[in-house]
Amino acid sequence: MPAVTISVSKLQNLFQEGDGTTIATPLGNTLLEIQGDLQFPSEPPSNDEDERFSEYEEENVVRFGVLSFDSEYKKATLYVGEKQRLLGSVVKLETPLGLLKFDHETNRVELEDVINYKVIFKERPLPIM
Amino acid sequence: ANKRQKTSKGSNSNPIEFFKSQYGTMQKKPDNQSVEEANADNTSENVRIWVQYNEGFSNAVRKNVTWSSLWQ
Repeated sequence: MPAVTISVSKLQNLFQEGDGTTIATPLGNTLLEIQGDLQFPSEPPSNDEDERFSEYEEENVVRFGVLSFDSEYKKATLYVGEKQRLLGSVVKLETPLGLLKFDHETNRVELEDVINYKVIFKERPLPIM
Repeated sequence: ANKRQKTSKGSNSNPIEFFKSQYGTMQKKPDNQSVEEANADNTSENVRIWVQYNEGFSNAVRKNVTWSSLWQ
């Protein structure tokens, strides 16, 4: 039976900073949960008027929406595309979620981050305004 | 709709000419219109981004984990 150890070297910075109650972790990750499927074109279109498509580290990136967040009430609003607005909330996870990266080339497992909060959108999308 | 039918039955020559002329104008238009419409369709369809909402949520039954499923 094969075995591998999980490397936690990246997380030293995290524990130095301590965990805030922000939606993003100190390492810059956020968990976004939507009750539904996010639909967007897989290929960047020829006429991208809104400049929603760009490239980041040789990957195609879609700017699919804007997330705004009210830290006082733990409420969040997600604008998707041009027509949808979703109301959601910031929830503390019952069991923190470890983000593991299984690297095929080096055959190593790295603990990338520990996620304590998620932003969840359960409600039906509303029209914008 | 009824009124139109009655008037068209009442006088035969006028409606036919009317529709012929209508057909003529329709035939002239399509080239420009269809091209414009096609373009409009492309732009709107290409940059459409939305959430397809699920009425509820379901968690599947837990299953065993294999080594290969972790290293996909």
